[in-house]
Amino acid sequence: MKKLLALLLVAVLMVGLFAGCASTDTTDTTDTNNTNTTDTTNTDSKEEESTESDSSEGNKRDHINVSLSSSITTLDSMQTTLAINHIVAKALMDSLTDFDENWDVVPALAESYEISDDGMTYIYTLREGVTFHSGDPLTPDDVVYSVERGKAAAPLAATFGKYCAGAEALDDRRVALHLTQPYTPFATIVSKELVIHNRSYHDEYIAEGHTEAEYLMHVDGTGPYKFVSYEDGVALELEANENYWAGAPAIKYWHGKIVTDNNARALAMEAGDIDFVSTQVTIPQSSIATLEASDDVNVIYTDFMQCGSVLLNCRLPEFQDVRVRKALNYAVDYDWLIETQTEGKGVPISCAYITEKTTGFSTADSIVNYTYDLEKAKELLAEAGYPNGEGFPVINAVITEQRKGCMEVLQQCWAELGLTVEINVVESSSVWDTIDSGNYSVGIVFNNVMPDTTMYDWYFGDPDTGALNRTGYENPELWELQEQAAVEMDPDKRQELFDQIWTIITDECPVVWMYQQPQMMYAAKGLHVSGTYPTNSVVHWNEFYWE
Amino acid sequence: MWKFIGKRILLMIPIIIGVSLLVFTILYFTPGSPGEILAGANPQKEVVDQINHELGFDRPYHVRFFEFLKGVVQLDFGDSYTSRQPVIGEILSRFPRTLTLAFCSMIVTAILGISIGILSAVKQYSFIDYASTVVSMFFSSMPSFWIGMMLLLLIAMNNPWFPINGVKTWRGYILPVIAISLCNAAPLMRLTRSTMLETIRSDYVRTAKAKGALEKRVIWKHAFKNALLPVVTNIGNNFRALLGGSVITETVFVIPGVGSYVVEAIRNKNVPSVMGATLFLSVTFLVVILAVDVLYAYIDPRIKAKYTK
Repeated sequence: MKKLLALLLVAVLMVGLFAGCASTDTTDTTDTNNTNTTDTTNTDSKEEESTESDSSEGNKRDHINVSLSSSITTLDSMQTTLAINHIVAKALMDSLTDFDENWDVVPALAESYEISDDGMTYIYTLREGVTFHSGDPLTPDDVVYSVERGKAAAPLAATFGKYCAGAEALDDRRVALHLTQPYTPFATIVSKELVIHNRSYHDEYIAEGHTEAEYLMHVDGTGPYKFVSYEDGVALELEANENYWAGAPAIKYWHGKIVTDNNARALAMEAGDIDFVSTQVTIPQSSIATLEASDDVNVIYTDFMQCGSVLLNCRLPEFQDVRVRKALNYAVDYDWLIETQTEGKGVPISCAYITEKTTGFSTADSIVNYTYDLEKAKELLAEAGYPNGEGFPVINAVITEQRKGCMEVLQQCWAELGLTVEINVVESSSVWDTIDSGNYSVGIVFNNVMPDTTMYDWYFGDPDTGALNRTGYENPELWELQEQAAVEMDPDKRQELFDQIWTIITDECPVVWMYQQPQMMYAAKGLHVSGTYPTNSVVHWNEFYWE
Repeated sequence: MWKFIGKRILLMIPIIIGVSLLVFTILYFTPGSPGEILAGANPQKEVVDQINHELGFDRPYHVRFFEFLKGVVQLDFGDSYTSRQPVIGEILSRFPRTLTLAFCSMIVTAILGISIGILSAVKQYSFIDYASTVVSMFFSSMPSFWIGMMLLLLIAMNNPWFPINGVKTWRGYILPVIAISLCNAAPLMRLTRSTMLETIRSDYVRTAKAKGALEKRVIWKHAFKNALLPVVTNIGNNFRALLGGSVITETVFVIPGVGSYVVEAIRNKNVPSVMGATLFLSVTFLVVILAVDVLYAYIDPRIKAKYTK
């Protein structure tokens, strides 16, 4: 028996060995080999590079050390939703248009654009003399190719992919983007999402035997910096693009250092090992004060906000009564919440979860603002048939570990009304799954601000139009207004629509608004940085310089 | 001897299959999907489903498991969900750093632990014995990441010669190796001391002393070799633990090793990376255990005799 088993195992081992040998011919193993060789060459060039630049430190600062919070998985921002990928990709790739400091759409690779009367075609005129890092000139055909890539990219399926029907080159400078339906924020979406690739470079790269996955780390863009090397888990090296269409960046070398641990990152910033930490890259709450006190670091509060809100599951009978929803809003001690969760840095929300820079931000008098008023909350709850919370079902709160603190504060606030909250911590990879299954009563979400109000329909949009409706709040009047605002091209009329929309949403409150949290950047003293831009709070790397 | 090694290598096969099955099953039953992570904030359900489909995450349990096993036979662990690069390449590019860290720490741990352990056993109840006991108590109660952070704060922050993070040059390894070694050397020193004391008091050592052998010879030749066995086991175990478990030290010192790779992969529901890395680590563990067992034979002839039988 023992011998038989031994023989069997030997046989398995042999099969393994031979299969291993045989597979040298298959593409799988070749890929692995290729990647390994690329990795080694990258490492070598990087080490040379870094010794060179380290020696120049202390003299004229011609480089910047940027903190990266994790490995970079792609340099094509259309293929990813990871903020750090977007922040890096902004150095390498450009879009047809960009945002200015007020988050309005401004020319970039396209020097102008016009919209057809029916709102179904956007014609972009390309800037003259723009070249890719490889030296190839930018052509309308590259735009057509990039639009094809954007339409096929999964992360853009609900936005660019949904509204863009395709592109065609009109002549050697103009390119037309056709829409599937009129959609006013389309220009904003192009600014935010579409990046321009070099078609011929891509085709040649693939023809050389590289995979599409490898291309994603070796893109050819028009951005202010050029790719030099990348070592997984360690560093990304970029070099200034001297031919950048908006003028060469002042800082020549761009070193991205991958530091995954938040405390280690704060320490490195303090020690001067890192010059810049962008928003969306975490510095622990406890280290912020140390960095603020440091003479070598500037802590910059940006206009880029994260808005925290609590979704109420309006499919549940208890939340269908607007008085209950209002009671929950009035019962929140906002000052206490902001003090404990953001060390006082958060700000109360004045217009649902958008900020002044968002197109459609409303200052109308009809907007309802909620302040802490326990008596009023108790009254409303009693009117709704739950005096002192009697008979109110247990509130099942779905929450990630990171936001548990917020929920605990709300738990105590709502306990004053006699309500019981049961906190269910779930993995961040399954929070939406849980919420979409409807098996929750409340859930905390944090959103990055968007440049246009129409982009917010995640919680109470019209499901018939394919919009998200996570709260299950149904209001045909609201949906009608949202649909009008999505196609209205006159700015004043559009603003009127938004005033009405936000009035309804704040008054009906399918959500409890908590606070907005300004996102911070950290820069070494003497480093001039740019502002932050939607939606992943990217920065304009070409505007950085040492004073 | 060779037969023994061969047998052990064969036994690795069922162990590896078992490990794969276990890890794969656990990952299968944990909630969440990579699509939710990759689709970003407030994802549309269709987008999440599309990404999961592209990654093959929506296929049935047995299809995915056997595909993985098929890949393992060809030394192909599949492509990472996040970077879409082959997992094996990512692991191999990180493993040298983990191995260097573990190996250096093992050497320093052994030198510190064994030498001080012997010294305090030989000079029992002396000042050295008491001092080393106190120091070792202190370090064995401190977690290595805390020592690591203290080293960073007290040494690296004030001394630019030590890099604050990363292992671009060999200097980057010094502080993490010290942090790990101090923690591991402390219990090793206690172990060496107690086994040495035990052997020193045994009859054959007394006999050796009685027949007039030199003190030095008695300690190194007679006592030490017999006391070494549990010490080697301990060092081997430490080494194994370091290969997969120095995650926290790797994180504190920002060393992109295999440990931090697995942790990140688990967080992202990156199944191919988790499977690839755990399998890779379990093979390495098995090899280290085998090496320790072989080492036994060289230290203790009685065990060698047993193996040959």
